[in-house]
Amino acid sequence: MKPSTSIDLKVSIGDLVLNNPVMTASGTFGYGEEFAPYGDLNHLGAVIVKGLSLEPRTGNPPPRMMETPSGMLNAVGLQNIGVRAFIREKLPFLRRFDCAVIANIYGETVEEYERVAGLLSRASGVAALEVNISCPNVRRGGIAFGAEPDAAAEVTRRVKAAAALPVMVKLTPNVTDIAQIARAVEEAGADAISLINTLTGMSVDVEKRIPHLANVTGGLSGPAIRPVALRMVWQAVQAVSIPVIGVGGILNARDALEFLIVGARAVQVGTANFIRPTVTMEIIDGISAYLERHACRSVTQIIGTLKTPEAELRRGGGGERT
Amino acid sequence: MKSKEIAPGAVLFNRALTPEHFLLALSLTPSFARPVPGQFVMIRPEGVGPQLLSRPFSLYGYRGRRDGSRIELLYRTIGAGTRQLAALKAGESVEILGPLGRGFTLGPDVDEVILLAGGMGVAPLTFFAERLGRTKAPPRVVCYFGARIRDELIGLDRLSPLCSELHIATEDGSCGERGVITDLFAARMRRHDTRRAAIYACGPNPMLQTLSRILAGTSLRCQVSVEERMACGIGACLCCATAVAMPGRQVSYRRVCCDGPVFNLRDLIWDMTPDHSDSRGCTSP
Repeated sequence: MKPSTSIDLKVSIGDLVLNNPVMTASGTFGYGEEFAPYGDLNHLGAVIVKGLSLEPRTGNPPPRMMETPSGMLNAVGLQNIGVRAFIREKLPFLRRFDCAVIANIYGETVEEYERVAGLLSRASGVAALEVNISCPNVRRGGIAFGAEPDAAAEVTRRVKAAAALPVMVKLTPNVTDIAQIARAVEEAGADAISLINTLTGMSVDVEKRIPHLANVTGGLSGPAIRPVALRMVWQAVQAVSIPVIGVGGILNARDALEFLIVGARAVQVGTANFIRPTVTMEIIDGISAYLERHACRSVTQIIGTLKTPEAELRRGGGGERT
Repeated sequence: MKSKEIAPGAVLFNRALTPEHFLLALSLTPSFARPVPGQFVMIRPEGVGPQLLSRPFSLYGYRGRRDGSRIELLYRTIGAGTRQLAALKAGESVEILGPLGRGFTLGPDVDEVILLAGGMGVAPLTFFAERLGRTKAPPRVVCYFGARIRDELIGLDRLSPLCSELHIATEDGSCGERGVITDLFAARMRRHDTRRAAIYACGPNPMLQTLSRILAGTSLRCQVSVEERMACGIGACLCCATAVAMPGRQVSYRRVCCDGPVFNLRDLIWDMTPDHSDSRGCTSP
């Protein structure tokens, strides 16, 4: 079905306006150029690039990946070319496209986060920053900042002060109370939050009695984590008033719509990019087709429209809205 | 902008050569580019199966026609993904990405090609030998082919007419010499002219690691096709890392899918590479 062009897919994340609510999750879309031969990047809401650190990072030894039931474990270890090489070598290509470019940033120390944020703020062509305080595959930094509300708030505050761009903070699901972390990050000045990063996991080769990953543990992604992600996004939406971006196991438009309906302002597609490099385009078309079928003129008409008994009560026992 | 696509493919046949070795033939649309031997494809059954990710296999055969092309893949079932492929029946559809990666290259001064195949590593080397046979001045092809047992010398019938010399080793001695193929090669290595010969090897990592030790003191050129688990096959996921030496004793990781799968053996570092002795064959497991 060819979706009608009259449907407005635009969403705003603070000051940042996206052509549509579909972004590519960091670490699953390279620096964009890997996917350009397969589809038109102009169609995407945003490209979020592989996490950038101040200096290049070698990453973890192989094997780094194992497919598991309905998902995959990875322990890449934030291998990246470093923020300066990104600005010099990768950003000029991405600037040619209409989609927003969001730089995912990572540091081992708060100072490193600040410096990466500063460098990217001075580069032209970056629309926003996504602060990775949730990588489970590195010894220092990453999840160490994201699992504790005070540390998460501190990184957020410092990046926000160093950056001249909207700041989105990517949260880890490996916490007891996601609402508490979400609130801490909001109070520290985040413009948006995205969740979830991968769940820590493990897999063993029983014949050899060795872990499938050289790093022993890794981050679980894919549809296996989607119900967890959806629950956490729903909780975060109720805990904060800044935009929430839903991530976790989205394979198709239906999956993306689940997140939008529970209140995510936009979504990120991750592991699915590895399965079909054109999947994001298919998801955008699928969302349009759904909106048309439900007689919605704008995607904003379905965001946060989950009908629960409590929501119905708050609405005064009201009936159908669409 | 769009220049590549996921090619729909139809299974022509998916023949069990042994209970765990399969030959898969697919018909593809003409948009599938002519592959270089050593290149691979990412393949998965169409639709959402229990296994989500495509599996990488180097090409075993290719025939291009104006109305479409036909490719062949050789694989062994070692996990859920390959078992899912083994269940494919004639007429069923697959999604194919490829041809991907960098294949084998032949220097202009090479007039003897030495193929070193371990188990399912025979697949890209057979395709390479076949392509060499079609060149104007084909080099002499000497092949060393090893497997665990006689029944695992898969594709021997297709390989042998492509070679001037064929040396076989099996670990149990059921065919050819008893032992591993690298030992057989090491014993005969001096017979090859290092200036005019080039080695092309594919097999489990321990075999390539041994080969790198054997060649350490020589000037023989050697290209190897490396195996590593992959998620995307197009350079984005950074899962298929292989260690290469950098100046100053530094180590860097290259992506097997797009910086390889064919590398110069001398560039690779082996002591950080895991033992994939259960490789499912071809270029990548």
